[in-house]
Amino acid sequence: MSSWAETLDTLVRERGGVLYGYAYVLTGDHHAADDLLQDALVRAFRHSRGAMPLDAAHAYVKRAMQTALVDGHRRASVRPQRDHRSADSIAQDPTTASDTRNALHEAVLSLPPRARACVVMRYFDGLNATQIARELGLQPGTVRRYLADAVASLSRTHGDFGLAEDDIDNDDQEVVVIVDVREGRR
Amino acid sequence: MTTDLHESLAQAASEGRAHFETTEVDPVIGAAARRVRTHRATVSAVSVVGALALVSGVMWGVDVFSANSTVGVDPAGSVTPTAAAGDADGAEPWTINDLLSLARPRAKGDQDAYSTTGMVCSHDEATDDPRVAYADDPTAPHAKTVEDCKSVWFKASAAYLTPVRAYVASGTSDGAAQLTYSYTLRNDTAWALALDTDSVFIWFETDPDADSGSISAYSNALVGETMWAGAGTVTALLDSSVESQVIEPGDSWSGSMTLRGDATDDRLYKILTGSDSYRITLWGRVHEDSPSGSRSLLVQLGDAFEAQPTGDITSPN
Repeated sequence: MSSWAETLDTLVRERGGVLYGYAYVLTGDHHAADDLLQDALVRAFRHSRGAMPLDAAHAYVKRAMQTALVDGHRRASVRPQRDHRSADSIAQDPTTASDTRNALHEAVLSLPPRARACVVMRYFDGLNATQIARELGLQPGTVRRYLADAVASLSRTHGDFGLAEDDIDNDDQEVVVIVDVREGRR
Repeated sequence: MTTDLHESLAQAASEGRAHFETTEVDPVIGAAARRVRTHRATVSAVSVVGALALVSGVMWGVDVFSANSTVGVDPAGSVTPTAAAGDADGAEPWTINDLLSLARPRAKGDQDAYSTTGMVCSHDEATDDPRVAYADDPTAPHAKTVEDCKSVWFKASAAYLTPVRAYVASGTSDGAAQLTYSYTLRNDTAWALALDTDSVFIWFETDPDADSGSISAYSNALVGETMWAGAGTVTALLDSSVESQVIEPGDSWSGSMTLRGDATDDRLYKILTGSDSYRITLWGRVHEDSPSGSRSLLVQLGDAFEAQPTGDITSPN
């Protein structure tokens, strides 16, 4: 087995559940999550000739899923097949804490892809707006706008769900940035 | 941070993870591995075809030089060529809008530290010739004149890192002229780069520092035939027809292109022997899967070769 294939095998066996879980957070649909993860795996390994550290491969695949969502991914197969009701139209009638969480996730899934990716990266991955912008190739101000709009939309149906104003852009929060090797040179 | 929202997303992740753990992973691995292998399959013959396409000729302005204007390309042994069609994942057309957005078009004559004076004509049809044509040139029926050209200027990406490590320009004069441009591209990034070899083209620019209004700054541009390898395929702008050449971090890929001018058209000879400066740049479409995401770029491959001819055609380098 070639080195990349070994890494792929190990990655899926050891981290597949986590990665699939992330895909499911982004899509909320098992078929769409399957497609998103598959495409991300292919993107991560198609140009890699040598062995790749597992953590790096994990980061690659995760990042590929994020960017695919943000790009609106030009391939329908990875486009989340959600109902596209607005967050406002999703009724809030939770009877249990679990229902509340499900409803919140549903509401997040109703957000446009870019806003959804930003919300997941902010409130699940714990990245701040500047870091999200860097990872997704967006302007920080754009990310803040996505987050603000998304939070406003979610708040209309779910109250403030404990959200503080500075949660949108807490750039002081310590987070782990996997890699940032881009640099200019000429 | 809001606990409810975080918990909601965490719960969804757990649900997804639980679902995945109830499924067989072998089909997931197998399907992904097949697609990766399809993409990476090495097909030497296709690689050769790609190399031939790359070197099948260059044009000077709008004129085809000698019929035997083949150019040798010698892919470096350190790079394993990959080939194969059927990349279901990457077969996305390269449209003029991609070029516009990625190449950051700029006003005619506008140059900065990261720019080169390159221009092609925006095209509506795949068969349109992106070159700038001299008016009424029968050799370029699909090329547009300067007046009709919807210009698309491009410039190098400041963030791109594939310097040309070596180049040699030389010429001989017997009424004809020849200039061989050899290059070695070394991947100085931390991730693998995939170069569409059939998208590589050379840009030969006379009077490169001319200010706006100087038609010569672009109308004399020389573009490799590979930019439009065949009718309907403007490969620098549209989808690639051959598999990408993968250049791993630290690896290199070499090639060369030769420009020839015969005695019936002495423009190349005049430039090589004249006093006007000229600049040679190499361009190509590169795909990268960096940690910050996957993207495709039309980029200048390495530094420009700047020449101030002295009238000695033997070696401007």
